[in-house]
Amino acid sequence: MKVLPTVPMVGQEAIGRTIQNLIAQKVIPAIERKGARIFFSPPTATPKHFGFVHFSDWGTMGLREKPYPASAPFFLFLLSGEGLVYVRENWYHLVAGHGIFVPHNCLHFPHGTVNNSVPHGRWLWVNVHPFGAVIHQCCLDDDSHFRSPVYAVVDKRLFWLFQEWEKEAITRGCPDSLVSKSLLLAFFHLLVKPAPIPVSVWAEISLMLPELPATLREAILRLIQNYDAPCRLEDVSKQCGISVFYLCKLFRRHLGTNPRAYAQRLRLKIAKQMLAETGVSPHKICQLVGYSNYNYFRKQFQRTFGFAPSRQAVEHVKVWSPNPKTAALIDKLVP
Amino acid sequence: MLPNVLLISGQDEWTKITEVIEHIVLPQLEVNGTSFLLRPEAISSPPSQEVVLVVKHQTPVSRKYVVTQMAFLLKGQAVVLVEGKHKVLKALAGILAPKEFQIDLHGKVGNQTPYSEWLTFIVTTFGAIVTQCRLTPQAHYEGNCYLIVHEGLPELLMKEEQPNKVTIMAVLGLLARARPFLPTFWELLPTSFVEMPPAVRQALQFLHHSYNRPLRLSELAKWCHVNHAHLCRLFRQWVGISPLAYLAKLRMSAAWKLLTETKLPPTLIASLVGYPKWSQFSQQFMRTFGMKPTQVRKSVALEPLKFGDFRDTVPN
Repeated sequence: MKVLPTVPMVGQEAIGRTIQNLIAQKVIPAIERKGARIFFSPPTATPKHFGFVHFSDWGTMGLREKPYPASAPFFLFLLSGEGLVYVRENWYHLVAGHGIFVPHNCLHFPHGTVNNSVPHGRWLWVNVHPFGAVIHQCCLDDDSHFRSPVYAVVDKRLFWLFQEWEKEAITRGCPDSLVSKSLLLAFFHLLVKPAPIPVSVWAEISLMLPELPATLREAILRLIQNYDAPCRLEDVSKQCGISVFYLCKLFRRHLGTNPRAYAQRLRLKIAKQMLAETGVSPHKICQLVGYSNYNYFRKQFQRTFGFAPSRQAVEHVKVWSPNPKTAALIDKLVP
Repeated sequence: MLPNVLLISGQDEWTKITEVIEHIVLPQLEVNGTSFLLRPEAISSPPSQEVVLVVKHQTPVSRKYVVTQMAFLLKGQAVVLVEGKHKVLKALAGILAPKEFQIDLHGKVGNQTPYSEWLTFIVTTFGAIVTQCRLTPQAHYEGNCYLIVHEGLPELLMKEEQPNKVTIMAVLGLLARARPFLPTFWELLPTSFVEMPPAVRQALQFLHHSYNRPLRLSELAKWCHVNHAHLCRLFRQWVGISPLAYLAKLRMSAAWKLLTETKLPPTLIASLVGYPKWSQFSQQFMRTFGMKPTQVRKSVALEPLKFGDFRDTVPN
């Protein structure tokens, strides 16, 4: 069995907002129709000639060739095509519109093969973490394993809702109950609300957060959650329960900058990351991070990083161009 | 005004409430959306003179802690008053209103007092308060007041301008699975309970059920159908202390439990266990335990919530 390379997904479908749209259009209606049952498919008999798709994973920088434990509980949802998943010594054959829930530390492998043929499919991953959730998309075909950048949705209510759902569905063993359904629905509804941010930016921010005072932390979280829309200082300070003056003072004392400059730097960082990983045009990215004027965005970008946004984008699109043949193949598999 | 009678029943009352939520309210929400929940805007009848308030609806906590108020009419018919305007509701309807609105569930038009059964939820900044009540032409029967301590519950609603179907379903689903904080302290009952005269037994039951409400000795005596002096004498003879001292003991046990097991502010705890005045509460606390309520909190040293750490604060 050859090793499939993990190829970055580029273009519009690699953007976090697109992934959220997919959740809103495919996952939420599916839960509304069938409840939490869609994440508990019955296992199928172990296929006769089964194997694993070997693929390199640039998230963990390793070769995936055997089942591995889940570092966080996650939901796996098949958007189109079909797929074979191995979870805790069972095989699950999934079709579009179904998914599976994998608890914490559970041995699993997402892509299985039968008779050496690779099932083609488009997957959505939602990992649950204490700060919120981490989502990404991947596609599998004969030549490669496509993977979109990984996005974090920062909202701690997500984790809390998930815990309650897990208590109801797994510990109490009633995934079919109405309570379980409403909790899961609320979870996915929350998931599509705040703007998703590229994970590496979030990792950088979350390191320094625990040392800051609670109100400042709250303010930074608000700025992060609304990075794609213009936000007024008055609103932020009101939500944190402090005055604008005190908010500025806190920012200056602990971060050495003012809130507006902080928010702007955050947006530019996110824009840089998205340009480097998604290959979407700088004009589109400029809108995605909340700038309405491209010239202003370009000027600020140039001033902060020393080079124009278009340069960052061009460098990477050359390396990561999608294979049009395989993209067409996956489109064909959409039911 | 009708008399307010406390409903004292078995201990599985909470299970009944969760069943009602799960099998009546949630399916209704799932099928019909929030259309059966009236918003204050929908009540637009001109103020009329003939609507009379039968029982005053009291919020168990101060208004500053309230986030959203919800009420479901389970059976019967009711005349509700929102900010002076009234509306007639039929069974399986409800009201949803933010905290600014004054809601009165029990009104009447003319001489007829309609029969109604209500389930009310008040989502507060620290969790929720769930109560059940019933209005008949004779009296207003009030069930236990269940306190649910949970930090995430108000957060779900606080960030929403207009709570939608999914949020309300999630809140109710969580309430259906929550463990309410209502210590009845049956373990504190004297061991000779079975041998006591019925009046004392009734008084003890009453106190264990409703220690968190303001109470007068005459009310208690009326409930037990004896004279208050006689009740006091009997109580002293069988329990050893006066009824009001026993009540204070229960309230203090509840306060201790809330202080050590939750992160609620001490002033709120005082009002939750039945002391509207902080000075009265802290005096009694000092007398019972020999230390200030705030000192207890410090000595327990409940760690503040860390970032990313979302532990459940519901006591076991």
